Amino acid sequence: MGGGFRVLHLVRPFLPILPEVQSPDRKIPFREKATYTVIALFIYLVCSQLPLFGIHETTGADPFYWMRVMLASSRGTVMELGITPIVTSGMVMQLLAGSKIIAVDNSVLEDRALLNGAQKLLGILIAVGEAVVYVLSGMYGNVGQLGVGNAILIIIQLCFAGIIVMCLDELLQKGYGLSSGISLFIATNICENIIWKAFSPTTINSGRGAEFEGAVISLFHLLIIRTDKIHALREAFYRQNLPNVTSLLATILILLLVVYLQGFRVVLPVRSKNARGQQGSYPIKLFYTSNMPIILYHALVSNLNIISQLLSRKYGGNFVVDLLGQWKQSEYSGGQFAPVGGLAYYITSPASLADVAADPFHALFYLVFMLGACALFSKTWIEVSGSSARDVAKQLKEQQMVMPGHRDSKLERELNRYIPTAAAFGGICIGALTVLADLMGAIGSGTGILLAATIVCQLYETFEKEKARELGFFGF
Amino acid sequence: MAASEENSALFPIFILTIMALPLVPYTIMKLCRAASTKTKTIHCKCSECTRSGKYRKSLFKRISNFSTCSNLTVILLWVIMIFLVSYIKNMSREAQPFDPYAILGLKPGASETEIKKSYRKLSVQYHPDKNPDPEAHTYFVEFITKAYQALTDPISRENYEKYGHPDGRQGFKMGIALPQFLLDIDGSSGGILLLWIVGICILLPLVIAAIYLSRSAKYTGNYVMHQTLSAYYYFMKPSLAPSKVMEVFTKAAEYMEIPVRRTDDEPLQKLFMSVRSELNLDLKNIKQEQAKFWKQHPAVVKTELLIQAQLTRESAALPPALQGDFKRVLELAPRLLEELMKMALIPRNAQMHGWLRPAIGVVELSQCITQAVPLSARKSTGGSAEGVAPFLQLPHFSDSVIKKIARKKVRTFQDFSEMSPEDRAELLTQVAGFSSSEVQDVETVLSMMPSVTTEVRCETEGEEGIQEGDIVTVQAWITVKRPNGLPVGLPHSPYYPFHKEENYWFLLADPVSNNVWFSQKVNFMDEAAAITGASKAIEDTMEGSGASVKEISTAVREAVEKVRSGSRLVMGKFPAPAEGSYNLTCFCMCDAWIGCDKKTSLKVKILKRTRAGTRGGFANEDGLVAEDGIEEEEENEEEEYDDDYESEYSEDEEEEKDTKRKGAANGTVRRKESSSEDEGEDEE
Repeated sequence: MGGGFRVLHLVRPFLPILPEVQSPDRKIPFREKATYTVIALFIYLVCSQLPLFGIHETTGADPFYWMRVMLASSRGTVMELGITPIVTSGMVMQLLAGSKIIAVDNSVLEDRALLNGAQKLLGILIAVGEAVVYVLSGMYGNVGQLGVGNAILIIIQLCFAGIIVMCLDELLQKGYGLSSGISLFIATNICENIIWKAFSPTTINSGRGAEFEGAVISLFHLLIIRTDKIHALREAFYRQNLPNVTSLLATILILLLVVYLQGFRVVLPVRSKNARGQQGSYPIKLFYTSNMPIILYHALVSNLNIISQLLSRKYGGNFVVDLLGQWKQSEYSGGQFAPVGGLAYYITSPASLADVAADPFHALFYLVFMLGACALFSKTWIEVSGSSARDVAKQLKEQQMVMPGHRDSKLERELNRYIPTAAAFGGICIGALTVLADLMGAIGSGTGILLAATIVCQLYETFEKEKARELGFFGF
Repeated sequence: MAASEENSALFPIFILTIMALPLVPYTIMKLCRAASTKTKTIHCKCSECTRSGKYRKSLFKRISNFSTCSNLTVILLWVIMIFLVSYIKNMSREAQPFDPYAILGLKPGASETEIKKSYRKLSVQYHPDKNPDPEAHTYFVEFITKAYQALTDPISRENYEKYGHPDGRQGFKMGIALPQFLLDIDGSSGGILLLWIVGICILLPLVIAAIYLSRSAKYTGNYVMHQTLSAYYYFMKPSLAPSKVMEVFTKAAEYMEIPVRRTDDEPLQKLFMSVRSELNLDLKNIKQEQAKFWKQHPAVVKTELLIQAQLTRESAALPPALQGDFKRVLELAPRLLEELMKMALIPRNAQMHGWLRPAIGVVELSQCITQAVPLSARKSTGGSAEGVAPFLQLPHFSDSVIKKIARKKVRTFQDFSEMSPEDRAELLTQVAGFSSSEVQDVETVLSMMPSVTTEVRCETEGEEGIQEGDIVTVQAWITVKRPNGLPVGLPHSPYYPFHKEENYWFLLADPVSNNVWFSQKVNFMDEAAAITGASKAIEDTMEGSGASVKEISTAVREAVEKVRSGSRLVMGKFPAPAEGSYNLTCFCMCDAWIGCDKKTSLKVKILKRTRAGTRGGFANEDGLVAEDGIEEEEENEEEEYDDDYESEYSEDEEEEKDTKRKGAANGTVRRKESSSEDEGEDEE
């Protein structure tokens, strides 16, 4: 095209001041990659424990409760925004580039650098914007109470944390680490939650004497202190208001189940058309779409929940709003709002088996809706993400791969025998696992555990692959 | 106040749990191991190896195997745990929460009549009218009456059952079970405490990691410096004699780092005189050669002399300062030799072939260093190709012994090792004058010596015959057997002061053209890794050829059996060169023993290409293209995965349409990046 005004060039003056991770100038050995990954995790963990300086209160209902799992954020800490800025900016840039609003020529190095820079700039702007909104909306106490100095301080902290997360993600993506920063942070956030619930030293005294929040620690505590050991065991396993050992065991069970099911696959032998002896296999996993269906499902439900919650707070009593969802502050879990009626209630999982018995229709509706939605999302996703049978066939053809015993043109049909089934059935399996996790009261939500489990599995696979590559490689 | 009292009892519980969780499984594991197996000795038990002190345990350990450091720690931790449990029990007795059932001496859920009965009984005991003791009075009012009321009043009883307190729901009181001083951040020592926490918990790990990363940037994945590798790559030549290999070997950057002190000059001169004959100096103009030798970099001179000292077993005469350097040189040697080997085998020509002769030289050097046998002893004499070197690795053998034996027509090592033990004992005692214990040592070492067999198969998978440009799969089973039946073992190496494992190098090479087609290192120590590796390799191949699940599982089971019985699977691929018949040799060389190498010949016939190649290019190019294809496949998978994460935030379902394009755009970007990465690697 040449010449003319391009939106992308607006970014150019900012490029020198944007923080950037240099691409590695050599091949990073495996153990160094592992070290970088661990450091990134460590920094993330410290940030998600560091309380924001200058805030007044964080009590009261958390409107973003439903989104926290996926945003890797934790309330009241520096990581309040989590990965929202990167993810949003990445999404917006891809949208703009995809819809040709800004012209990007991916083969030009400068364009790519500019796009990257634009994405980062947008990310920082979004972080600033969100921080301002958070502060002004009174999430940390009234602005008048906070004072201007504190308010600005909070904004700076949040913004800076956003930049740190961005840099960490870039560091991992550019080949210094394993996997991507985003998925790593989501998994870490959930795992941290599980570990905390199991080993937390926090004590809560609600008249019965101090109790530990951590399930395992409370098991020890009760066993030692109580004279009636059977009673003590029963309490440790089934206590209601705090994490108990049963839910911990349920979590572990779900994790093992996911790991077991990850190995289910159908292997299609493929072979190269022009290099003889180049054989390979194309595995079609049961979890073909991985954790995608539940991410989509969760996005849908949490958005609906947030909207319904806001509406019912403002216009409670309106028929349509009530149809969407009625909300009530729950007794436990720190004044969190929970749906008690309307659509929001029916698509939220029942809290326990007792609830299932109390309202079987709710449970049934939830189950059917969840499984159906997961299967549907999964099937849609393969079309959208370019992993449908047609796309895979095209990909294989480009690589000159054929399936022995089948003609080229039949490749797609052969793949079609497996891929849609795997996607739909895998989606249902993932959905069923989530329901199972929720019913057994696994720590964190079912979605969270499944997310963590699938991410960790994938991470492990990358880990093994990297290690194998290192061993196979000559010295360099 | 109350919170801090409670916490002083609760913190030990936290500590106890954290301690017990690893400790209990660890103890059980230890006990199981102690009960099930006696530790197997896999090292050589001849008198010389024992004397070398490598495997000797300290006196303390010998007194009792039981009182090792870890065992003592375990016991100590158990003692601490028991102490903690009793401490907690004591503490908790003082701070019992209000429990009306316990006060009335009843089980939870007792009936009304039982409660009344028990109350009456206790009031007889404690009522102020009956019991004049003022303490009894307070106890009666404070506890018994309250408990009775709590249980008889229906509302408060329900409250107790539901919330744990008769007055209904109590407010939450949050605390944290950590010692008071840790929580006292606002106090006088708060600032210092904060500093400590920030320093130790946050800065220290980061600093350590930063130091580690900056240091490890100099090293490759194998803990060898980048500089060493480039030096090796540069100096490696297609045909290097073993003595020249040594010159390349000493060029390592690690050895350059060893300081050369002024005080070293004299002992090095002395050492030079004693090893001069080994240095391959031209005798005609010895003066010039000597001057040339000393003109090299002082570190190189030093390293070379020290290695010669090892080969000629002169190390005992070194002064203490040099002794330290000597140890350091030897400690680094196996790692460096491995890298040197890789540099010899690195693809050098268009067919991706490495060089055979330097590779053999490296293995021989490695054997000599491990066994402390001079390179000159390997020169073939008389009947044997290995010279007298294999004899020299046996204990109590020297040149004169070998000469004496040779007179009795035992010229080669093979002759010697194939004799029956009685004949050998007779020969050694009669001719060489060995004592019976010395003969026993020789027998021990001979029974440790491995004999290697290989089973090699080359084929193009899924096709008949091998054609030009095919990707040929090599599948080799390497089996090691020892007379004493140990599947794995540490080699007899009394003069090598460190722990040394046996490694085998499997080379498929064409000796005529000096090309190594395929090479791999095999280690026998880690059986578990070998089992997983072999079963995975077999599974992958079988899956590729479209075998059924049952066939795959039987094949995998067979492979696992084979690995258990002391074999290792070597599997790999190489591109087939131009058509013709090739007489290949499979080398299987041990890097620790002399005279255990195995050579088998393998004929490979490569046919003309029949199926029309689409590109008609060189074999090599095809191979590369295919490999790239596979990598791209992997990359694609990763892309899908990454896309997942970006689009999870497509919070509105309508955006999904756009993600398709986005995915595509993303894909191209990534692919570009990956290809540029590949280029980077190639340049290196």
